[in-house]
Amino acid sequence: MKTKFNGILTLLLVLVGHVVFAQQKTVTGTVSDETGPLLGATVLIKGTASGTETDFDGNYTIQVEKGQTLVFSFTGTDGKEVVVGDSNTINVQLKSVNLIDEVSLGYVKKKRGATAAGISTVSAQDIQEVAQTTNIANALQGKASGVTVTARNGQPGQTAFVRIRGVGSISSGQEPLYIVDGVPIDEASLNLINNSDIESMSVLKDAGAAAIYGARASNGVVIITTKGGKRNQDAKFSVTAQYGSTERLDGGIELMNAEQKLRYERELGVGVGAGITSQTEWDRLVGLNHDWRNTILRDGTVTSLGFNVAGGNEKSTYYVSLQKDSDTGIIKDVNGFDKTTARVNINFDAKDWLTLDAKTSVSYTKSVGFRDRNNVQSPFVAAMTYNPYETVYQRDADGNYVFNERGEREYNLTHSGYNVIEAIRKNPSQDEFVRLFGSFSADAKILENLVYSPKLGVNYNVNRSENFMFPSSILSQFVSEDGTPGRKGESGYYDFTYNFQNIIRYNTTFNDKHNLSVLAFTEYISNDFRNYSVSAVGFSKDNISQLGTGAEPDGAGGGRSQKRTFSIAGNVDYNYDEKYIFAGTLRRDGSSVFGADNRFGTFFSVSGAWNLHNEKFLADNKYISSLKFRASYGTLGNDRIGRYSSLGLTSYSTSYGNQPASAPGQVENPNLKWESKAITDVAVEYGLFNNRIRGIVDYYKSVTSDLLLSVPLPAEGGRFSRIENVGEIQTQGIELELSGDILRNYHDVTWTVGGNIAFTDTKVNKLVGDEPYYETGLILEEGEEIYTHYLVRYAGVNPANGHALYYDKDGNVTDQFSGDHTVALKGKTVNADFDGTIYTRVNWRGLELSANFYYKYGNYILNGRKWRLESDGSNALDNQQVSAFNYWRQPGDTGVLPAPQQLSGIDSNQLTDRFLQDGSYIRLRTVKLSYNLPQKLVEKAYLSRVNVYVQGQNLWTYAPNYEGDPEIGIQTGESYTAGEVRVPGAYDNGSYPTTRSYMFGIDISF
Amino acid sequence: MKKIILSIGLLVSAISFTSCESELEVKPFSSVVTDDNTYVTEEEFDQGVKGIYSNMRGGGYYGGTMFIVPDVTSDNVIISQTGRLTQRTANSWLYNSISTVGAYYTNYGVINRANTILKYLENYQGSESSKNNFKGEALATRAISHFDILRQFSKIPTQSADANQSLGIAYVTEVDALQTPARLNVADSYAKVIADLEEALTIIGADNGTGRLNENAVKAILTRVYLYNGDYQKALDMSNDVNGELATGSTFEQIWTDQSETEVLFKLLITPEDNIAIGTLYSQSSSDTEIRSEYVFDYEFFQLYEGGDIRRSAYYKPGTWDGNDYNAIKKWLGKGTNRNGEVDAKVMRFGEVILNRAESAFMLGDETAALTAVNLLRNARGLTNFSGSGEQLLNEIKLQRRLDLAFEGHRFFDIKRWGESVIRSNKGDLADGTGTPALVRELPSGDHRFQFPISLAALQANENLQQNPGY
Repeated sequence: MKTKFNGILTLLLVLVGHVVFAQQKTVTGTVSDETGPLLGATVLIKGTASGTETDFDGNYTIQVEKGQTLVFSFTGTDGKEVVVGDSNTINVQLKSVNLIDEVSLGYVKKKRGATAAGISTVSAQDIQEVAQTTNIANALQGKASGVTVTARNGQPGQTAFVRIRGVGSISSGQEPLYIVDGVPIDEASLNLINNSDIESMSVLKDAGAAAIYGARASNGVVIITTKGGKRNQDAKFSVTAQYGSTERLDGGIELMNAEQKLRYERELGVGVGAGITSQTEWDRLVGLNHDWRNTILRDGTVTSLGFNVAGGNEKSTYYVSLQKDSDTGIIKDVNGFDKTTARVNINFDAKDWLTLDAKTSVSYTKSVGFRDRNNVQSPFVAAMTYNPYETVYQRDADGNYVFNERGEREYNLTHSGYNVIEAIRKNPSQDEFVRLFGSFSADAKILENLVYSPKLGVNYNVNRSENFMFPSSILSQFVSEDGTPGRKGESGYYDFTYNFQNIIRYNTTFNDKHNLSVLAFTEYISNDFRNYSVSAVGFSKDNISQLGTGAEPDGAGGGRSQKRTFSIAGNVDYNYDEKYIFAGTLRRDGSSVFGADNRFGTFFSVSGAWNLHNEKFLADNKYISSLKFRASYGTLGNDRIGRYSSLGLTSYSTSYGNQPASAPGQVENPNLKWESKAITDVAVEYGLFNNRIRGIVDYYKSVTSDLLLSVPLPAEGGRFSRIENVGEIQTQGIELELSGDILRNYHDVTWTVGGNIAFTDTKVNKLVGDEPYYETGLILEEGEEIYTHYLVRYAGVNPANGHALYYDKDGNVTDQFSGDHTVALKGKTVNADFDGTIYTRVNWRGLELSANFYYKYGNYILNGRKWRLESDGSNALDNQQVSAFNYWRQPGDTGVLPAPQQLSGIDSNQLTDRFLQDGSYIRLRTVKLSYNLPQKLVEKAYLSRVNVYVQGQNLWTYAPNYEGDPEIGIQTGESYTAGEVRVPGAYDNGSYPTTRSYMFGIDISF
Repeated sequence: MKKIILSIGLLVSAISFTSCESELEVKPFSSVVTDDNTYVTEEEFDQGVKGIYSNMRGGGYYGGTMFIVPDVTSDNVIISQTGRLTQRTANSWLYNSISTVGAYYTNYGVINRANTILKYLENYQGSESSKNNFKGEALATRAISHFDILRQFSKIPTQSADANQSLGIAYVTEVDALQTPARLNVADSYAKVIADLEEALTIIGADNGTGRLNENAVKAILTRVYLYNGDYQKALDMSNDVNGELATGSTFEQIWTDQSETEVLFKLLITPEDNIAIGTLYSQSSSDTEIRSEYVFDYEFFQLYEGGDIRRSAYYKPGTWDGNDYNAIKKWLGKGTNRNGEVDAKVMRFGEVILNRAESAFMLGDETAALTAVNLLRNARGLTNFSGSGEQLLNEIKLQRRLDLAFEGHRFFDIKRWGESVIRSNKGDLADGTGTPALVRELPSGDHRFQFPISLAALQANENLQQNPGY
């Protein structure tokens, strides 16, 4: 009893004492940087958990004691600490540190000023400027110089082709290495990430930066760091919501309407138009006119809702988020893409010498499938080629619908024999993924300067795909056996990656000015991939689709493969007073994909930098606020080929008469070894006039040797191809980044304009046995630019007879088409001469307007869509572009298309350079107008920040020489797996179109 | 405490370093690394031989190409304007080294599989008879694949006087995937094919069933090869040695729906699980009357089937599509009443042996034997006896050959080996002969396009390989 009383008394005394003795006072002030007041800057009392944030005008108010220290911080600035004295007003100006902020190099974080590496960073703000549902790889487009991003197509949730500094490899993987919270993941797994969880992305471009990743880093490295809480910060809740609409971009392709198409058919004497004998029939068909693009497609709806909470105390931080995104896509009756993600990131000091960190996330995505291939099963091909007088449903002579015995309207098969609307409804498919990701690490401070960090990364992806061919569907009537209609297929995979790292870091500073850090580590990665597929046929009803209800098993498949790598690396980094920086990395990698004697490869880099602005002679310079020279040289590897590529195999994945069979498989190549890329990089980074103008000039040259190439073997040997180390390619380029603050807090207006441009030139130095090497329609030739278009040249139309003319190999005009006339079209390649971004951002009080343009110049696209729609009568039964009317009609006609084959007797529908078009364009990629509600209003609602915005994506495009939308990925999205080598932008086949979107969103914090 | 952590860390690092060298050794799961133990037992060789057949029934060979290209390039069919217009390049003889036609790559794949079996047979410990049987099958499949390349890409000995000395093919007997063999001449190529088949005949079993090669099937194949090579006496003798019977009445139709094996001497099995649909190359069908055809009967050819000819109803089906009527081809429509185009690939049947007998007898001047043979076939097909001699008889033999073997991958090669021209009618694609006629209607005798072009890719991969003249 007595003890308890004493306790209460003590407590009371403490409270009273506190009231009595503390010299509490109210301090107010403004926090600003060079550009003006800062909203949301943190003001914290040092050593406590209490603090506040600045309001919209940069003002803050805080209760504090004299003698305490206020810590002012704001992202992108250097921060400041001020001891509270007698004054009740403390105004601070923070220094913007655009050029010396902290960058993540994956294994370590470094201040930008203290590194000699070539790195581009993409901030959370940049990421927010693209639609929430977009796969994160797409967000890189135009954000970092030298990084070319081509969306696979316009389908929601799709990954993109990311090329850092051009093409660095041919048959081996060309995608960069993605590192999420220190753990490598593959492209397909990028959907595990919720875009708003990303704190920053760093793109490591030169060898100095990437060499620490040695193996697998030859295509560059993208490091994604997710958000965490802050120490000593109260829980901060954020709710974000976004809603918008998307519409297809068809680049102004004008298709024939019913009247035009019938007239075209009549002129050519084919199809329905030619057979009409009465005006009534003609008028009836003309009256049925509709644009199938509008019949099959629609405007999509995008919604996204997110919630997160972040905070921390003295010893720990946490960040928890939940997000749901969906994008219906633009195909009617298909609910395109849904993604749900959850994340928990925690970090805490278990002991004063031990900090533990866990970052875990789970994501679930579902995409509803459709056929995306080069035939009428694709909704996009169908939308262009179905005739405008063809109806969706069958009509009888009186124009009434025809019903089947189930009372459903009978679909019209159309001239193509396939009704894609019926197929979308009755042959549904969907693809689901569950992705688990965890990165667990510890930082054990063994000595004052020595930290040991073991790290375990796990990444588990489970895929399940289902497709069901309704027993009543038209497709079933074509392909099913009698008595067993319908087919259900299920397939999926389990993909488990385990990553174990042991890192030892040593940092020291001696004599105040010598900063040395040493890093050593080992890394072991093991991947196990298993897949399966099963199917059954014979279904009773359209709505009973479980495998077990199928009458008969139909097929089963499955396989398994493994890959392992082991690496050991060391890195030394030294700088003298942040003036002179030197770094060196050595890494040895072993990969299971290579031959037994060649598993290990050694990679290294050396780099140096000189921060001139830290020299005395520049210290007082009025104009130059920062200036840095850097240079690096190093080698990087690539092992991204088939898993057992060195082995000679006998395969059992075959059967005969449903009995087991075996056959020779892969051809052995025991000499297979690492592909290696050497990169030289020199750059200048500068800031002028108090960093009002900032820029980087970067020159690099990379040479990839021992290229891992799929080499065609002689057909007569019966085995066709194998992977070999042959050839060499080189890329060189210049990247320029420049940005400037035109206005800095001028009447509260800050206006920044910037941009970047990257000139890239990739050349083939050497190939297999000096022979050119072909991809479809493209050529790689020694001494020439990579991926040059390889086609027969079209020489126009003979005005005398309307026949198409061609150039033969020697340049003579001939009317005979022959594959032998095929030539490499020098200068016309898939690659742009240069590409880049122009962006601008204007702030006025709570209003911000930002815009981002992406441009690309000098690439050529083979326009397969035009080939199909301007087919010189070859596809006359399909709908055609209106321009197909412009054909040769009488001697003397010029500037026309060849006479259709029905009239000329000659098939001129050849894929020649007639369809090769300059794909240069500039596009208003994003524009965003946002408004921060006045702080007073917000506070009344007990909130800390409310931001509303509207944004648009792809609102404007200028592509003077390209017919159709110039943002071309791959031909067809079907049967493509992320990471597979393709040449994006080579051939336009009318896959899922790029979309334009309009969004409205609101972010609330409290 | 800290020192313990450090020690553990270093220990773990050390362990992971040392143990990982062996961890990098991973083995595939669906394959084995080929070595001397891969083919040892009877089961292993049996599976290996099935692997050869499995490749032969692929879409690039007897699972498709070989049954469509030689008809599409001939005068038997016309392209349907409401089809998908597939195989247009072949149909208009527009093929070249880039837009290629025919089966080449797959065939050498088959040959590689056969050679693999032949190589490892040395290790076989089983009975001599089973060893011989495997060897016979491997030799015969190797020969057939080479022969099929030969008749597509090279001249046929009887085609022209210069044929035998012209470019034949690379005859491959080694498994080396990197070999770069040159082309032999036609005469030497045929000699190799015949040698392999004749050797196979002496050792292959008689009871392998129709789904594999057997003694009787090899004899039948030999009648074909001898005939192509102009060895008429051998062809005639061998044809008399083949056992078989001709299908008559409704049984004949059942050959094409896999309900009867009468007359079938060798076929490649295609199960529903294989998902190989030869028939879709001719047409796709969703109901009993709705048939979307790629190629339909040439109108004039269709008229050549007399009343009572059971082949007319076995091969023909009235089909409507998009409001038009067509003379659709139903030969490969499906098993039983199926319409999915999945049906066994009938490579050799007795009807052809009789036709080979008739033709070789005629060429030897034995018109009596020729007439007997052709009437044997006519009677089986529901026709009365033919009487005639000389040119008339030859034309009748050729006609019956065309009528009987239509859509089975023969017509183009027959026209070719007779040194004739392909001449198509000017009739349209519709059932009554109206509609759109063939765009190009003549391939004159002697034209280089009778020999298909070698693909550019193949030429680049093998420096010793020579392109056919004209490409």
